[in-house]
Amino acid sequence: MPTIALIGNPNSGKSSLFNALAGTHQKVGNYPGVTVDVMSTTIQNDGKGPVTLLDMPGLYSMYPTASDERLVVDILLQPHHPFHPDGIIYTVDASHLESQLMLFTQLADMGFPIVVAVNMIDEFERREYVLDTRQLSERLKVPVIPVSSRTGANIDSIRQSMIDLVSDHPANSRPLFYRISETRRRQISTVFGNGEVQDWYPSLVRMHHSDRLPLAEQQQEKMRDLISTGAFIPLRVQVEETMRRVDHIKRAIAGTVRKVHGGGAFSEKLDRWLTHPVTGPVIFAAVMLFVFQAIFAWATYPMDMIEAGFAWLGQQMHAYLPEGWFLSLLADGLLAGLSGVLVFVPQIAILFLLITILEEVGYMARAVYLFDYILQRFGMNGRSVVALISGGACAIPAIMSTRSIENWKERLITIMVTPFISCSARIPVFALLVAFVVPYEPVLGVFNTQGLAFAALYVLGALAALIAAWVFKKILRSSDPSFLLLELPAYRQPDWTNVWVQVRIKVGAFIREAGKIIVIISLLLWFLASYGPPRQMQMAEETARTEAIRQDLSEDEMRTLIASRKIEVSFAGYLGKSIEPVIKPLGYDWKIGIALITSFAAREVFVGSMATIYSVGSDDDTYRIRETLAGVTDPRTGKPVFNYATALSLLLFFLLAMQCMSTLAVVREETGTWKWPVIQFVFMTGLAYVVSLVAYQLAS
Amino acid sequence: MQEDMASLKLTELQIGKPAILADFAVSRLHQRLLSMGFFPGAAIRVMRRLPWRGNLYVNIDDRNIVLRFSEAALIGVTIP
Repeated sequence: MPTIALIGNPNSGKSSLFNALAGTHQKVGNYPGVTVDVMSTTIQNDGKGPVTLLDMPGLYSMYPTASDERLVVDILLQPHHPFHPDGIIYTVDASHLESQLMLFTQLADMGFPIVVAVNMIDEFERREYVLDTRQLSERLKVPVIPVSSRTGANIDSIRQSMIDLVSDHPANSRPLFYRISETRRRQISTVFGNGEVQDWYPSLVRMHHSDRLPLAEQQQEKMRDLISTGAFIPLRVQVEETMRRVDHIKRAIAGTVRKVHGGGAFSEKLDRWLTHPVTGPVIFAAVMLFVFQAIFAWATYPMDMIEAGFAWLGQQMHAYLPEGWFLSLLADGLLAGLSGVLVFVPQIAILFLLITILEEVGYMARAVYLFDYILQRFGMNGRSVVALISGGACAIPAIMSTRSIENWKERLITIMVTPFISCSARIPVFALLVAFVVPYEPVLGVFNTQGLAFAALYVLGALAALIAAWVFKKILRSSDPSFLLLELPAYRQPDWTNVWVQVRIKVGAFIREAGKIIVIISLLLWFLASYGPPRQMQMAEETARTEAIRQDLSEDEMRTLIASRKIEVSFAGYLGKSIEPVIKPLGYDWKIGIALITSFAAREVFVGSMATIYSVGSDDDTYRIRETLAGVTDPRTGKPVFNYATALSLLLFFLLAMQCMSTLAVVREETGTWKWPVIQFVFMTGLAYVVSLVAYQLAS
Repeated sequence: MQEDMASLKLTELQIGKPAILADFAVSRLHQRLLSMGFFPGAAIRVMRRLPWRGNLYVNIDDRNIVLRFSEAALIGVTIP
């Protein structure tokens, strides 16, 4: 099937155009080695056969600075890449022709058949500009189609042009926009041999990228010679080329755009407040408060429904399936794991819905501007703001969102510290433990002590992230230049299709990445907690049974008593006991140890494990678990196990420790090595250990 | 360059004062600056900036761009 790629600068309205062309029939490309989302869809054309349309990440030039941009260049340079296009629809924002057409001239010189889609023509015309499409098309020597993905104007013409793109090849006769000098041609011939080179420009681009996409050995050697003798200084050659192209474009569009009036007054008025050094951050804080308030307020109901649904499903299984290991595996292992993943979907969906809307409206770019300066002091970048906020829902999509940070060191630091931000999975644990640390008391009428303690935990997590970032900044060395050059788009209405697609991608990433690991680990934990040395398991069951009969317990009570006795002698119980010496100084006994081990699959598992170990029957009642825990005493000393000091120490441990295998897996994927997730695990968990130790020793 | 033109760095430009972009030092950023519309001859104006050596919010040929102080220091402007 012929492939056509949508390419254009970021902010050229590329994704909106893609959505307008594709509707919602799109899927995320998943080719090995591709770490950036490439959306694809199949466009049906009457009679002419289907065409695959790809939405590539935004690109500024053939000499990119960000990794997602490099991916696009790599695809364009490798004819055998599965995403290599047969033709290109080049999108430009009608209001920024001059700067956005530079890349077009490069793609044209690469030899691709191209159609230029002049996007957001409605906004352009609303600002009382006029574009002479015919004249522009003559000068650029390609078809030029004005479109609006918002109003749908000319979308059909684009669809039609796709067929023409792949059926005839106007590219052959086109002169180059950039006339490569004689000297340069000689250098190209030296590298590629014999003056046989036909495709001057693609060859030149390959030379620029020879560090990442190596040439044949002999060519690579000649290339090294050229660079070492100073005859070919890539940066200088690139700048020279860009200047020439810009010149060319200026001449090409001169007279095609006529302006009647200026615009942007509304955005300017808003920015007076939103980007003000004082009111800007205050408004930002208010917006964030609203966002997190919304998560708590709106997510409760769907979360309860999901939990109730899974509880019902579990009951049905127990009612209709025969007792035995298989039922236990399904109901206690698999179902528990699935429920543990899906219950967080509402919170994550709501946060990303709101973040995407803020991005679409143009507000996030302002937040980047406001906080870049401060985040730089901590080795990060204004763009880290998005990841740090997203971390409040789930670190997985948050870490994936760091791809837009160009500087590797800044991106790495953001990846390393984002998991300190308190995510959804910590909430149930905090909810269980906070009551042991702070008794409930109203404060100023509207607040209460426990709510404030909750807020304090969030602040503490953010502080930990900043401090850790500062330490990384001091340790890590980097020669990459750090910069921020960001366009602030005019405020506009969100493109709802885009919002929907983005939320789907983010939630999908969570379900996929967290899901597979949490489910696997849930099954593993189920095994560890359900099995142990057979003789001991049987003895535990028998003693529990006799005890239950002696105490005249009900059927249900007996079952929970047996479960709690059996887990003591299960493999998980042995594990818990074996780590007791390590966790004793933090105030935890081996029972908490078991729950702690299980929580390394995913934090929220802790609550369920505590319920099982302390035989609370059902784990959906935080209040009952809390009551039971408060009554537990150490058989040797007779003092309560669960006191202020232990709870505080546990709270801090959960706040700081890296207890999410799924996040580690994503970090490994994003950084390409196990080195960083290992470092992350060690320093976060190490820090958690030390802080909890100190807190416990001081508090007890 | 004409005699009556004052040339200075973008960071020294007064807020709200219209100027013309003159040149910039060759650096890794050069390429990126050009692709974002920073051409010699472009009309440029600092709209607002953050305190100390904070980021600048500039308008260049009717387009709003934010950049860091250190980047703006590489850019020379003239006041016509």
